[in-house]
Amino acid sequence: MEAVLEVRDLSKQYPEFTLDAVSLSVPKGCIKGLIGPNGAGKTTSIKIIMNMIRADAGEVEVFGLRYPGAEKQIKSRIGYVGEEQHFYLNKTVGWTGRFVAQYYDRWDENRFDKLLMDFRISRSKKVRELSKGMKVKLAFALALAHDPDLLILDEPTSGLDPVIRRELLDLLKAVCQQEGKSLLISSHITDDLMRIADYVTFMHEGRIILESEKDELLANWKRIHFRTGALPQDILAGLSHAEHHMFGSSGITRNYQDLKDRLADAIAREDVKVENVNLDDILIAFVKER
Amino acid sequence: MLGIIRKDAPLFALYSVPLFGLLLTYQVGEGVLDPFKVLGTGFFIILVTWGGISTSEQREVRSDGYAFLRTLPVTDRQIVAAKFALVFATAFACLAAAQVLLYVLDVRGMHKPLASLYLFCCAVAALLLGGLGYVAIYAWGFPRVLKLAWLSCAAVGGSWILFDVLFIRNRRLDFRNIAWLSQGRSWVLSLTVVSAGLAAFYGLMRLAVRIKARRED
Repeated sequence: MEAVLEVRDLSKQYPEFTLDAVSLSVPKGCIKGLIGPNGAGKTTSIKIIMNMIRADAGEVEVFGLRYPGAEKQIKSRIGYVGEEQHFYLNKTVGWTGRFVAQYYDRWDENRFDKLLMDFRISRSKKVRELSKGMKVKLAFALALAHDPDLLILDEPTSGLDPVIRRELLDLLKAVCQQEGKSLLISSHITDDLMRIADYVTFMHEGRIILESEKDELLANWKRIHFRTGALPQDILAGLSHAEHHMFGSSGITRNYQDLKDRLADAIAREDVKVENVNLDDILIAFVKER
Repeated sequence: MLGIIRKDAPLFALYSVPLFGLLLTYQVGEGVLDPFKVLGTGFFIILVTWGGISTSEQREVRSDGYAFLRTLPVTDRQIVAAKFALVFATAFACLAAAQVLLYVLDVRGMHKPLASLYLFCCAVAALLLGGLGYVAIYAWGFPRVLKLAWLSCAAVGGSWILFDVLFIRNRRLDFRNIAWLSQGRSWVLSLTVVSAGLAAFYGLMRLAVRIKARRED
């Protein structure tokens, strides 16, 4: 599948943190979630992708173009919402829209107006009068009004209440599905990514530890509960994060699809139960391992 | 680039238009310029230029404006060029107004060519101080540079008094009337000052772009 964003071997050294040879790609029309605990390197990677900081090594290619020569062309096709919202606080929402509009050829004033109306943000309100949630919504309106081909969102929903979070995620999903946009979204709120992501990339301590299609990942990663002695030794040896309790034992497998047939009888006898895991469980499993 | 210029232009005008307008009105009302007034006019060119820089940077700091600009399709070079263009426009407008004043009014106690050269020097100084100011702002941040600017003002004021005591009063150095300037081609010197100043200003702009990009890493 054609990739709108290709990142190869990005490295960045800070005194207390190193981004180590990060490579990832975002296929056209897909939603990719970047998951990792705080300090995993998600924001650093995104800032390098946005050319807000420079990498010590590695390459970033967006729409087949590269920084620094094509910075304007690249950014004019990206809609970006960062972790913190920076606007001119003493200016109005309307002024902010007009200011941003000057930089985009594909700016759609009607769409901006509609988004502001949907988000119930008044054009005449000063940015400093907006709540945190409203500022995030304004950032979304600005990011979507210029019809970007790629959306890059860095922890956009952290600190927002569940109602606003759900509203924004539904909007993003609709935009990507109906308009064929691509999306790279970083978050440590894995519920958000469970809802919308097609692909997930796990980061930890500046490295990519896993990259996969979300459904394939969730189909292979399962928690298996079993009575003592119910599992063959080779399957038992392949389980991680084993727990023992009075009703039996449990552990996580990463290749359930391969084991499915072999476990069918034990499942029928109710000696084995299989439980879905979520992205949080997978993240925690990786973090504990390391 | 034009967007940033349009955004910051009112902040530069906030100082330059009323202050310089007031000064010019006063000078025209008086009808005659003397060395003190010429000196004051030159100082005002520097003052209003720095006033514009300081007001616009204060706004950028308060809103974290540079972080906002970095998210838009605009390069560091364009951001810095817009800031430098405003410094240039302010200094140039003030210099033009001051030169018109010099042309229209009589100057007593000072040769006109020297007064004109002095104003050119002040405009160039405004450009260089503005350029250095931006280099320092991108290197150390605005709050620290503001403190440094106050200290520099105090230092310049102090050294002027020292200069006055040591050279002008004791040795009777009359810097206001250098004979060769009134007789010769003062425009050559003015042109040299302006050319060298503009070259240095451009150099400072390139340096500011490099420092800004490095600091944000």
